[in-house]
Amino acid sequence: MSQKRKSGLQRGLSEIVARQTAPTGEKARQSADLISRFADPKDVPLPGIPQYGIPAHDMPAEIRPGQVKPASPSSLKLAEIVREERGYYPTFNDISDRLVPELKLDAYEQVVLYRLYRLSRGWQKESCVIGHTKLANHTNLSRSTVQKTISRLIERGLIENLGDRGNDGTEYRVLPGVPVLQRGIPPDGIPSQEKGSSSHGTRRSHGIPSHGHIKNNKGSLKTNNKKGGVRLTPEEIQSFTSTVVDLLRGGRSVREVESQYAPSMHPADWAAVKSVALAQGVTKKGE
Amino acid sequence: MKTIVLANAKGGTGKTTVAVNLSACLALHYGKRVLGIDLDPQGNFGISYGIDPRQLTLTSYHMLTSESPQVRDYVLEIKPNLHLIPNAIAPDLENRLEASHNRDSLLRLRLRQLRGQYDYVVIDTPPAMRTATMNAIVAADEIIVVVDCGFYALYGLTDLMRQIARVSDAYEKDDVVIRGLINLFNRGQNLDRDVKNEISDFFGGLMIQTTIHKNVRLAEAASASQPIIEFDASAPGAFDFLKLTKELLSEYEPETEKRSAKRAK
Repeated sequence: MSQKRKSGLQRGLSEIVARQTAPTGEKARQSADLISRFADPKDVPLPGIPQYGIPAHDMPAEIRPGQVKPASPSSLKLAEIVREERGYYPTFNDISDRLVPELKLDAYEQVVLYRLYRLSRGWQKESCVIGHTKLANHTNLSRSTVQKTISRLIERGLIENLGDRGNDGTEYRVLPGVPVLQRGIPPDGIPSQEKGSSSHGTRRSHGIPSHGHIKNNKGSLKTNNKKGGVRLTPEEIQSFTSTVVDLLRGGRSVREVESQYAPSMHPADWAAVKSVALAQGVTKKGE
Repeated sequence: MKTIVLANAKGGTGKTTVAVNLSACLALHYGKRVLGIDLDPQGNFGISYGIDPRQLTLTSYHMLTSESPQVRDYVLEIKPNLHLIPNAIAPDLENRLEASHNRDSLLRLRLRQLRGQYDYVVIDTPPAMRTATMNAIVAADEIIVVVDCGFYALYGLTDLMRQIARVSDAYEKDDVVIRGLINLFNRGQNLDRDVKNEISDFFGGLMIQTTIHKNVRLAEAASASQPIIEFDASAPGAFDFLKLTKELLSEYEPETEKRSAKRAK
């Protein structure tokens, strides 16, 4: 059908289709652009590996991916990549023990928060300046995912946007209100009243605890776990019960299953799970 | 003659399903002259049309490894307008292919014999970056990267893109078009949506707008040795593949696409 013979509606549709679909030459150019990103594997960065550790000067030395050789599985030697002399920094146990599970941070939020924490607290600073593109490169996320994740972290109050810093990117304050750790072990030691006092069985640490602290706390942790700080919901009890029934039917003894699950559960919860499982006609093996 | 290659270094992404149903839609619905070539030694392209790979004496690997073959001898007529060069497991031929002179450009040379005889050549590739896949990439006018919505989707993609980059550099293929196609998509799953967004970001304007949804009728059609548009034309899978074919044709030949559909009817 020639252009002249087309009705107005058909012409309109053709124009819309033409706008939506770029000509093949344009697609070939776009494909060439895409291919060129993979043309030289030597340029593929190995993300997330710091090259300078703690620098002598104040400003964080931004990672320069091109300086690291790409690691192939055969050449990947962790001990050569992860080196103590390039530095390390203290992190709060409560970030992974409490913030992540309690705020239900998804994988994107965790990786972006971790990166921002590294760039700020890793240099004993409360804030850092970084652009979305660099952040995307170092977290292996797309730029749009990074933008969305940053917005969510700001909404949740985990980071604060301190404003645009021109070509350098945006300044973010990480974990506002949380003190900046200067060293692994705080100068005044670990507050004794907080040992094992967390309601979720996690220790509120201000850095790397001394060996004595770990030793002294082992007993209280075990007790805390045995008591079961968190009670199971009825759905979880039901789910556990069906798991236990399956295991017993699969030939495991009650004693074996009890030793596996009971220590991590509240005694009353375990009693409920056990009684229901046994009531479902399971042979009492090992009793 | 346009050569469309379906590729991904990852297995299980649905390359063969797309090859079978895309070739069927082009030939049976739009009346195009289509040649399918199965480079995957599993032979599933042929199996989907009822060919038993164990009975085959001439396969695509035979065609590639023979000294000066007549390509017509290797072509089977499956349906009107739809021909196929099938494949079957043959480790010795694979090894011979690996050791051949000019081993990456054999298919391109063979396809020159068929110039003008077909409108489209649809090539299914194995899930590995070996010589067969390299041949397909060298011969390709268009590479459709079929990506499933699994967690490992992007890993295979990087491997494939590196190979394409090497081939296009070595053979100066500046005009090859790469497209991304989402397959096995389940809109009810968050992971699928996230992976789809990631893949769309990766391909940008090269993304095919049509998404092939997960549909059990596609698997049932394969077990019945029929393409979906013959097995159940009202299935969502048939709708997806007709939409995909229409989208591709609207780019390849925007003026004749509607006319061809009418002629086929």
